[in-house]
Amino acid sequence: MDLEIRNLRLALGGKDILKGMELPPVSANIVALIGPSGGGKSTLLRVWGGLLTPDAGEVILDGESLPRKEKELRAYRRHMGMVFQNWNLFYHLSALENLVLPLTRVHGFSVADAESKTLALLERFQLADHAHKKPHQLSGGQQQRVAILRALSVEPRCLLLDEPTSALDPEMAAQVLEMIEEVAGQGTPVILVTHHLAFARRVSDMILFLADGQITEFCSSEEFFKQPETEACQRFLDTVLRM
Amino acid sequence: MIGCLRNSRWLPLHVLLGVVFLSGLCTAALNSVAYQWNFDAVWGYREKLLTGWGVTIGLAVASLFLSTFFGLLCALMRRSQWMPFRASAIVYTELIRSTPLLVQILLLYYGVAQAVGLNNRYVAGVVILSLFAGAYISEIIRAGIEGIPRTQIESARSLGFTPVQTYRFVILPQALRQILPPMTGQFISLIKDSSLLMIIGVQEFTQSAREVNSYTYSTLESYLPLALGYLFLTLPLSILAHGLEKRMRYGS
Repeated sequence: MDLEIRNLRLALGGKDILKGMELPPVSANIVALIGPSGGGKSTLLRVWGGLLTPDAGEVILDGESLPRKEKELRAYRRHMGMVFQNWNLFYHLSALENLVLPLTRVHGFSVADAESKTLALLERFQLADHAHKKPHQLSGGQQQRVAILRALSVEPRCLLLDEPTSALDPEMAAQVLEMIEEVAGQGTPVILVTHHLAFARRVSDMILFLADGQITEFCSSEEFFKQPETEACQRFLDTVLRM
Repeated sequence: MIGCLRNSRWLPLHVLLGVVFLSGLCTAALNSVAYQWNFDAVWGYREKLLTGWGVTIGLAVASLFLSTFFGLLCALMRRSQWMPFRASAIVYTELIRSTPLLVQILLLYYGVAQAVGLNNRYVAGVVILSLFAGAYISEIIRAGIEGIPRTQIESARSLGFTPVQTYRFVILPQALRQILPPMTGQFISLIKDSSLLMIIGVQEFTQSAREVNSYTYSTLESYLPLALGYLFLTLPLSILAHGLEKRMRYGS
């Protein structure tokens, strides 16, 4: 996956969130966005997901500029797999129906094809027993894992995860992280926002450090954790790792 | 017998006790004024009462559909990106909710309906009643939609749903669960409010009872069937609302 950002600006509710963000062309398969809250991580992820359109600048994914017209953006979104912190699954539908709905309504699958594809996927990740449960009958970790499968079921160009474990207790978080690791290992590119630095370090091959609407540091995760360049980043790591 | 009642879902023991207690109280009160019951005179007009009851049911059912349509339309306009839609929806709900239904019926019937040549008082009555209830229903629907977590809608967008698909497959089915119980309550009000349509000469249930009263001078005997007739319509709805509230709740 090739990423590039040129002078990306975005304000939300009159507040500048992304302030002329720059990222020279880089190539990576698993990218972790880390940094203090309010730094613009989730906003940047939503831009990549086609949910927010920048006020200025360009975001380039695999050599293509992200579209700006709503219709083209919708087509783009269909091939991105997005998972949020919580409330991902439509809570009036069962796990199975949650996966089937986008396949049939957006991707033109027949119901039978969508169901067999979905069941196979749930089976592979040991979630088949929960196929007919509604989200409120699933644990938080199971909900997130089903949500990741829903994002994967459309065979996305890239999986975008916005703090997928921050609403979970440690044990459930571990299960979800394990699944992300497995998915990433199978070749689907992943961009994730996370506070699990140890996980980011182990899984990702590129770290983007965001602070105050800028990417202040980008490098391989190995280099990053060995020797962060900027002082802000050093301070962040010190604080987080001390806990 | 008592045990069976206690376990019954629709008629718990405490409800039965309440009914016995209140009817005892009413009987005592009536005995103390030594009221002379005379149901025979009213019985002669039973057909008139029944017809009125039928008209009330008709008005309520027709208004139920039309007011839901108005309410949905207004709620969607209120959420529209286009300012004139939003503004007119706000003006409509606020005007309706802050004036008495009686005034609305008189003004809309003798003013607007006559002006546009809508002379059928039954049709006009249904439209006016629906405009009234629609304002309340739009607020119920709006609250139902706004109660949906933002991420649900964002998820739908991120999956590539069109706005219409988002409403059809995510927003409305979820909102419906929040909306149904208060909506049922609103329909109960609608049934009772339909009695005000008598002032524009609609021959509905209350009007029939009033006429029977003026023919027979048997006030309580005319109005008691009226109360029972309304209760017969609204009580099942109340029970339904109660049941829906229980069933629609998510185990969170």
